[in-house]
Amino acid sequence: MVIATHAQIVSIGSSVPLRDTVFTIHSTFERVANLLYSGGIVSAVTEDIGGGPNNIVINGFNFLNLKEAQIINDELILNNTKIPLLQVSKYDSTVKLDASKKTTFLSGLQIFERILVKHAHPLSSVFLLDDRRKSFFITPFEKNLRNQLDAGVTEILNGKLSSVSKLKGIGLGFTPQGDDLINGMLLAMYVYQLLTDYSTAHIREGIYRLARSKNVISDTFLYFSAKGEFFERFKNLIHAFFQDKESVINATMRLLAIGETSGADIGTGFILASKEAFKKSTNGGVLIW
Amino acid sequence: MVVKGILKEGEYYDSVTLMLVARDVLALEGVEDAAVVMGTEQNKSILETSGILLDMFKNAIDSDLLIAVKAKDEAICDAAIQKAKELLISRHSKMQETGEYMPKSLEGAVDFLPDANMVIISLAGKYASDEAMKALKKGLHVMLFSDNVSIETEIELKQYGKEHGLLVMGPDCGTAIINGAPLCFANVVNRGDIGIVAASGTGLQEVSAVISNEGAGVSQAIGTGGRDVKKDVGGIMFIEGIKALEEDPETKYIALVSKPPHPGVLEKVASLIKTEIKKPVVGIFLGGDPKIVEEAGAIPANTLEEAGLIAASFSKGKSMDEFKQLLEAREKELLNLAEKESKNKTATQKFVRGLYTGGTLCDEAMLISRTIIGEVYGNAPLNPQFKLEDSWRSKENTFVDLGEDEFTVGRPHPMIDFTLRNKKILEEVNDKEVAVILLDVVLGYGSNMQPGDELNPIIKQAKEIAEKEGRNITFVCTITGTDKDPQGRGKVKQQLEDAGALIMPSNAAASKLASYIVKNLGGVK
Repeated sequence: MVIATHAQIVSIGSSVPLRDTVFTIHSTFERVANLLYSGGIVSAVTEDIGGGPNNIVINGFNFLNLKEAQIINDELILNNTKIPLLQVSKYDSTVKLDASKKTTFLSGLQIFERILVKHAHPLSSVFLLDDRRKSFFITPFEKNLRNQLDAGVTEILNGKLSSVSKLKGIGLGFTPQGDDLINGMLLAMYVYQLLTDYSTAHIREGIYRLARSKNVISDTFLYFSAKGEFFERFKNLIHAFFQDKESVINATMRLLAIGETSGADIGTGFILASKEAFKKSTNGGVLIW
Repeated sequence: MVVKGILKEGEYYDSVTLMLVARDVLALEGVEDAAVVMGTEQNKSILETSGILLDMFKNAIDSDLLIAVKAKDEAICDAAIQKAKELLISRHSKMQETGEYMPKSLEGAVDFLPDANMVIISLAGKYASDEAMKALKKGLHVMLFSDNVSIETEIELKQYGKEHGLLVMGPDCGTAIINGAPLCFANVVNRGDIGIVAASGTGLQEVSAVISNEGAGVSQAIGTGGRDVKKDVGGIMFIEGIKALEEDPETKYIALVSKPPHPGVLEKVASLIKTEIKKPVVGIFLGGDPKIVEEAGAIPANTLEEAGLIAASFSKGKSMDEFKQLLEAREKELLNLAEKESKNKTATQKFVRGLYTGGTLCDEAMLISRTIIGEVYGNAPLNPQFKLEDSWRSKENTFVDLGEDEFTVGRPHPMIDFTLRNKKILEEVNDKEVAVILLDVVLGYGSNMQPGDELNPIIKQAKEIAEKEGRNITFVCTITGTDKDPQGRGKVKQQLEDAGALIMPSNAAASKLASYIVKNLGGVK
């Protein structure tokens, strides 16, 4: 057994189990390793990915070579590398907002939308914010996919929550675009609650129930979004809304760096749901879904 | 129409990787629709709506990867699915999160690099032209690496470029050097005062490498794509390229490189040189009439090497006589060497087999050989009557361009992947009539990174096979490149010499040596 000299834990999410656990390797990438256990999934990530409710942020370890992962006696063991877990700082996934700064938030949201539309991948869901992007979808399959995304989102925004089951799972890759859109919507509803004191808990819970799937990665994201727990890049984006334009731009770019379209899709869902919620709440904060 | 597909369990890719793979597959001739998706219920329903849901997909789960193709026939479907599999392997599964934002569109890239004034586009042809026009409208010069762009689109792009003072290099332009930066297949050459306009990728490489190896340097090397000098396009960018070099303060001398342009294009070029170009010009139009170049006030070269040497002479202030003396001295050396190599051959050995990776180099070799040993066979011969019935089977004197489509379908270009040529080398040595095998090795960032490591054992093995039967085969090689290239010309030369090959300073010299040996052996047509 090797005691790690270079690998170190930067932060650990509040939902990461600290008891003895043997993980199954679900998937490994350059900066992320997804680890399954009986309670769900934990993601070991590099510092540039950042914290999250179920993230262990580790520096100095090549995840692509990861074959075994476990927690034993307050140590995380990756292959033969032991990394102490005690006295590691906890990542705070909660967001606290000042309800009196709703206007500032909406200004930030506008900037966010402009940057997102400008820089998102042509094949992301951003066509839902900018019709002109629909032309990027060319093949019959792509057009059908685009139409399904469009229909699903439109129905949800018009109050038909059951359409969540129509939207989930749509998309090509590892985390389908439909799931990312729902993620963004859930985060928007939580932020809306913080800014208006209107409880969206029951809606978020209902959406999560409808959106659950066998895709454990997507499911985990949806679970935390529904609870109002934020991963670091999105939390930074929300905070940037209350700072200056430059901060929003930088935070948006960081968000867009998540996957090819994931960041853009989550952002699109967030913008659409936020705009819809604030539009419909002009009569005293009543949200009409 | 036929629909086929495969299901792969537990493979994870991000959305866009899958979409781009699907698009590359869709770009194949005869494919009508393609989808590469995870097997969620909703995706299956979209596949169904699109008419490409196969029975085998019906029980797929979220973590299954589904590849579906709709095409004209079964063979196209199979080829498309194979292509999808290869692309997925080559692209690797990207991680779900990446560290830094990378531009995901032309607009994003322009915002990211506001001072950039040029874009290289490498997309399937049907998408490339739209992006190229978009780039031109943003005021960017374009290098269009993609092929399969229609001639009409090429003309439209080039007309627009011409009207707005922008270069459109390509389509199918694989080589350029702009402000000292070697692009795509270009070599790392000295910077200097010689500007090149070329409608030939490996031609540009050979000329620029010769210039650099002579101690001179290149200011700009503008590739136009081979079709530019044909009748339809009318030399739009070849002419604009010459004008650009005339205006470029760093360029003092101009070299023009091309296969024979259409007579009308040649006239336009000649007229331009006569009326507007004040800088000295050297021209090599392989197989064309040098008189026309001369009449236009340019110095004609007979080979790519000569073009490079003349340009280098300009630049270094040397007289033309110096390089002429060099070539004359070399001619004697080649004849002596050919004499020596002819003596160790059996009675049956009398033919050459040229196995080329560079199309223009192959053309030049055939042109040179024709004057010494007559017409040679090939898959793209100078004389159509000498076209091989089967491109895979050589006969008598044969020069094969392994970069032609018939050899590259489903494979990387032979400048990158030596597998096919290595196989051909080992086939050719079994032919008792073969005396010489002629090879080109093209260096540069885009080419095979270990050419010496790969060719050395093959040449040794080939020589051993022949020697066991009492035959000696002469391997003649030309290396297009410089010591500054990542492969290092000197290192590669040493590795090939260690294997027993004769390394010539240029393609022209290599072609001559091979032809002289054949001539001595009586292998003349």
